[in-house]
This record gives sequence, structure tokens and C-alpha cells, in this order.
Amino acid sequence: MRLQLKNIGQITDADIRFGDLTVFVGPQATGKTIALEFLKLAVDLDGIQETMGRYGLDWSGELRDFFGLYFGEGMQGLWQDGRSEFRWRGSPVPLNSLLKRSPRGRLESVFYIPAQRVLALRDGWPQPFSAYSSGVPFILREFSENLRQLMGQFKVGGTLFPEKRWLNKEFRGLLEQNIFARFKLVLETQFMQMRLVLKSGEQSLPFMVWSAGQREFVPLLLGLYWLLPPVPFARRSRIKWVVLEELEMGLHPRAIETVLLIVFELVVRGYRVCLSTHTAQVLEALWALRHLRANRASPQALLGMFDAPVTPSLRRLAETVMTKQIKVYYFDPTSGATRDISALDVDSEDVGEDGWGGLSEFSGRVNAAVARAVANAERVGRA
Amino acid sequence: MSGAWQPGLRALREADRNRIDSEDTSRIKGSVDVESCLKTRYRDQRQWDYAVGYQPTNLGVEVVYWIEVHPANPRAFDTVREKLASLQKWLSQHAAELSAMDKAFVWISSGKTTLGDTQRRQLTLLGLRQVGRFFKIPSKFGV
Repeated sequence: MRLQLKNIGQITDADIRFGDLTVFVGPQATGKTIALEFLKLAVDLDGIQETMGRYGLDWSGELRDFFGLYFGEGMQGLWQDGRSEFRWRGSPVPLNSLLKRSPRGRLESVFYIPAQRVLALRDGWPQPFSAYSSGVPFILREFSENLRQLMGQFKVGGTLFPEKRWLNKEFRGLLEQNIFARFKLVLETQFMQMRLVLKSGEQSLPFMVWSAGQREFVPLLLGLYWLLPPVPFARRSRIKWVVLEELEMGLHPRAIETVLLIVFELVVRGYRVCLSTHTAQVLEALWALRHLRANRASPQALLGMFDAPVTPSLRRLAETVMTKQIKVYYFDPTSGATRDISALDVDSEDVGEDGWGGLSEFSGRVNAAVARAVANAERVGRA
Repeated sequence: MSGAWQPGLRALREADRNRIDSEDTSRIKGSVDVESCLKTRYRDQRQWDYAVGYQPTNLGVEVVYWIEVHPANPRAFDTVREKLASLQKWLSQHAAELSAMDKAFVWISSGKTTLGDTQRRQLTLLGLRQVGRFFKIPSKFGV
């Protein structure tokens, strides 16, 4: 599956071949989100038009207006006629003509968990699609609506987490240990309005009192619940792709480990997963996966890295994820082009690859500065 | 070592010359094959590979890059540490002038780098910077 973009926003030349797990890295404002949104556009254009039509949105067949509705207010100028190019699986996508025709009724198959997911929960309840203004990006509106629909599966007074129908016990254990600690996520009613709260004993904390990490994580958890439904279903059959932006937001490194392990579960269950990230921890895990596989390490080695218990289901997860194809792309701010840095070769002459797209540059400069200071300490002492 | 100085990177073995670069190669003033110089006198010690003299743009004096080309894997860690200790001892006891110059100790990997973060930090605290298979000398020193 190949996505090619030219001269769109900050992107001059993006050429991406997706693996089972694909990761985008690069500084802020280099086009990572735009590329992910174009992936959804490539796969789900019909479904997006269908959804927009259902909520009364009308772009009158005009590309600029559609871009304002889809990417958000102010993004109408992303596309430059005569310069911008958009190809999917090697063929050009004729956006102008496709947007003028009626959608073919195909359901969407990309589940997108956006970076702004914290906005999906206002006062502890997911907002419906129509609660947002038309200038809010489509991906946020739709994610929020998906969560609102998911809430129909829970009863007032019920516990959403930990709850044995949702996620296997190993993941629940790790999430309790690394994220929720003593708190439960519960649905209650306050002044006739349902809302999610964090409960510990009799203490009940509403959304606005949660920490930044808790506010970032709960929408992500609900998104994972959507994707990993209770048995007997292994996955949502119509969803083929999962996009997860910045899984690390607000999370301690131990929590990031747990979420990354759950991302591996998504891959093993057959979803094609795309991440964007600003944390070296994700690339460190992928670098390790590569070398563990190359050296025929046991699944225990991978689970040991995550400090995860070696149970039969996690063993199967580790065994399977080590067979999956992983791709990493660096979005270069200088050239506006993407580079395939999947080898994550720390010895590479390519600065983008050896510095892992900028994620380990600071660490490298730290080492250089301290090593130099130590090497010259005696000299400074004499001076 | 004074008789062993050669201009540019000529003192380095050919395979190792390609591992070092600079934004302005004319600022690479000279090099010495340290191992060849010291191995006869200090037979029982492991020797460091090279010294490279460089004129940075932000200083009025030359600095010395002490370069070791060696596999960068956990097994080699102790060997390189030992070489560094020998070099630092020799500098402090027999080469006061060289020791007084601004310097950096750099380990260039001759193969795949598989050192972990902990080992890299240990090296950093010894004053040694482990880079990948190539080292580009920065135009400024200490910045």
C-alpha cells in the first residue's frame, strides 16, 4: 500500500509504503498529521462524504471547501492546483471529480485516534459529531462520535475500567499498575447528566480535576475498547486501518510501554497500524524488535523489555509481532520530503536516520557535551 | 610522537581515513598513528589508534581529537576503556603539552553499533564519546 503526496502544505515529496506497523517521526509542523489524514482520505473518501452528508455538511463539490471541512478551518489552501499531487497504490486520486459525484455508500475502514483526542470528552462525556462547528477537523468530530456511540455499551453506575469484558487480564493488570493505580473509571450521573469519573473508594473525581495524563489517556482507552471488542469478537471486521497520533501524550514512560504493547496487539489482530510519535521510546522498542528478530531471540526477551508477564497469550503476541513488517518514515523539515529510516541504523551517515528523526539528537548532544567536559576537566582545573 | 606527524589524515590507515570528515577539510591540520608510535615502548599495553589535530573556527588554537576505531559492541567495551585509561595515563605522565590542549576522545565503530544506553553513559563519564561508523568533526569546538 503506497501513498504519494507532492506539494501539499509543508510536504514537498512524501512517498510512503505502509507496513503492518508504520511510524512517522519528525519535528512539529512537518506534515505528519496531513499525511495521516490523506491516508484516511485515500481509503475512506466515499465514507467520509457519506458521513458529512448525513450531518448536513455541503461543500457543493468544491475541493477548497471540502478541505476546510475535512482538515479544518484555515486549511482550504492546502491543495495547489497544477502543483499538488495525490496518489494511492500508484494511481492518481482525482479528488476534484470524486468530490463532485455522489458517494457509493462504502463504510469507513480507517479508525483514527487524533492527537486532539482530549477535546472529545467535555465534562466527562463524549461530544456528538454535530456538537462541533464545521471548522473543526473531521477526524476529531468522528472520533468523538465513535466514543459517544460506544458509551451505549455501558450502564450508569458501571465500571468501565477495570472490567473483565474489555481487554485481556494481562493488559488490565499493566494498565492498573502503570496508569490507573488505585482509580477505577466509572460512569455516573450528576444533575441528570451522565459523565465519566475516576473513583477511588468513596472519592469521585470529575473530568476537570483529572491530571493531564488521565485526560489524554481515557479517550485513547475508549478508542482501544472500540477496536478490541469483548469476546467472541477478535476485532471490528470493517476496520482495516488504525491511526494513532502521539500515543505518548501526557504519559509516563512506564505507561507508554503498556500502550505500545497494546498497539502490538492491534497489529497482531490484523489491523494495519500507523503511529506518529515524538518519543524515542517507541523507536527504541522497534529497534530492539528488529535486532531481537535478527538474532532469533525468544518471545520472553521482548516481553522482558516491557516488564510484562510471560503468559501464553502474551507469548503468542510477542511471537507474532516479531514476524510483522515495520516501517519508519522521517519527515524532514529542511526538504519537506519523507525518508524511509526503517533500518533505524545508529551507524548511518544519514543524519535523519542515525538521530532517529531528531528523537535521539538531544541525547547525542548530551553525551558529546559531558564527554568533552570530562576530557578537559584536568586542563580547566590547571587554568 | 613528534616525528610521526603527517599532514591531513595521512597517518591513518586507508580504511579509517574514510570514516572521518569535516565541513572544511583544510582545518584538519595533521594526524599521528599513536599505536605505531607507542606499541614498541609499551608492549604490554593496548594502545589508542590516532590523534587528529584540528583548527576550529571558534578558537585561536588547535584542538586534538583522539580517535579509536573499534567494534562497538558490549564485548569490546572493557577493551576500549582500558585503551583510554592507558592513553590518559601516558598523556598525564609523558605528554604534558599535548595533555594541556583542548581535546575530545572519540570512538568510531568499525562495525555495527550495539552498545546500550547505560554503557554509552558510562563512556561519557570517562570523557569518551561513542559515535557511529563515521565521525564528522564539527567546525566549532565545545559549542
